[in-house]
Amino acid sequence: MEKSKDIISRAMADLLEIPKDLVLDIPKITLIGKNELFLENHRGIIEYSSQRMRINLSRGFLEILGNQLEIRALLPDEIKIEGDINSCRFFD
Amino acid sequence: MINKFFDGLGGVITLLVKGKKQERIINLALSRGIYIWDIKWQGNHLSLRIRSSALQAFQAIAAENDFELEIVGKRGLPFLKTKVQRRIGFLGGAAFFVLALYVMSLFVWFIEVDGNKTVDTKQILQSAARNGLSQGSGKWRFSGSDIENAMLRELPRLTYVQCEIQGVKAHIKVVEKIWPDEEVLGPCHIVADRDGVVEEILVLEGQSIVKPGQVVGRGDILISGIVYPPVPETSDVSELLEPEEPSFVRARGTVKARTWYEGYGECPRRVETKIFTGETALEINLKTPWKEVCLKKAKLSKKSFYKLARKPIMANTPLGMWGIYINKYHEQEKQVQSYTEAQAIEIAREGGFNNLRRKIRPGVQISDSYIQVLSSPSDAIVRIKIAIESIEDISRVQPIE
Repeated sequence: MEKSKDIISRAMADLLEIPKDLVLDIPKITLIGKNELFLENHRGIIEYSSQRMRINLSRGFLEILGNQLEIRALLPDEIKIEGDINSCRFFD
Repeated sequence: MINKFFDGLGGVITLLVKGKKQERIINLALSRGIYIWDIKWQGNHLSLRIRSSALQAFQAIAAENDFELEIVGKRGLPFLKTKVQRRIGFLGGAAFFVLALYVMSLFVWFIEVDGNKTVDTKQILQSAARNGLSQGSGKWRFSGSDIENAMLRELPRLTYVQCEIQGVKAHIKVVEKIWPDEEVLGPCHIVADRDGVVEEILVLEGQSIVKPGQVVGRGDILISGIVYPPVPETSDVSELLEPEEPSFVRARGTVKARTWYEGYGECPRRVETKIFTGETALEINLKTPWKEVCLKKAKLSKKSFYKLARKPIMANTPLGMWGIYINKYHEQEKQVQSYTEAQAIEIAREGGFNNLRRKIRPGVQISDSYIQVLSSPSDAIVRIKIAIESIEDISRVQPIE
């Protein structure tokens, strides 16, 4: 059921040329160099340490590995992370 | 930037969260709409910032979930009050300084007079003082236009006065009246203004006394204002009547004469001059009514020569004269210049001519000039005598007494 709704939403977004992050509620990541990361459409923080951060998403979670990771700003939909970012991985 | 400004306006608190699984508090705060930022680990504790308005709500979350909170920093306008209370003396001093500066700026401390040539500056300042503008007078006590009008009334030799107040300085700009030459209207003679040989004479009114080629001295009558009636040409003695009374007229006319001027010029064969090297040294002295204190000393070389330009900036206060002297030392170096005899004569001649030009009235036509060297070639100074022959109008009006 969830999958079919997702397929329809995706098809509508393609047809109407609407950004998918708005229609499908999927995360949008902006990475500036390796020091700044903006994430939109998150669902809260699962784990936070200065080397590892796990952020909840609508489907799965995002794992960020690095050094001296700091949460510069935290809003209900947006998060800004600063530090030496080494990797970003998605987990379903 | 705007966010930071509003955060500062509302007040920002930096907290240290202690307890287990501190990241949980982030999600809890987020779910309750508390804006948090600058979240980082400090050892085993989580440091974060919140707005001071959200402190109570955040404390409630911490209490519900067994977290311990420690306030480590407070920043912004609401917390400024305690800082102000701590530094009340400093702030009071700053406020007093601003107030004193404002009060001092309400008075005139400097008066500058400009544009006067014949009218004495002291006279202008006295007139301004009588009308309320003097050193130390309050700016609210006088009006610039009233002073201008009053000064024009008091000083008839002035045609225009502008009184401009710029900060603590009053600038009085004056323009003097130009009076026409006094013209003699009654009967008068034309007399010689200086010695000379008459070259040309043109009589418009009066009776000519001299002829071209005649030598005249200073003060001699050239055209007489006493006109005698013509003697009738008759041989009959019986027709001779009593001589008529002479008429007095205002003699008019021009008398051009050959005149001579003598001048002197000299030039040393060896001249030592001091020329500016362009190097300057600055010295600043503070002048108080009791003592003059050096604020900055100039570094002067003992081998060099200096010319001092002193610029005082003074203010007459109720406590006495206060001010600053800015001494600017311009470095000079000695230069020796030797001249040949011909060069020295030429320089002396130029100097002599310049001296003579000051004696000669403008518009005088120079017809000839002579130079006589007075010094011997072995003299250290070349001295010359210059004689100029000119043709000029020597007439001068002299009333008949």
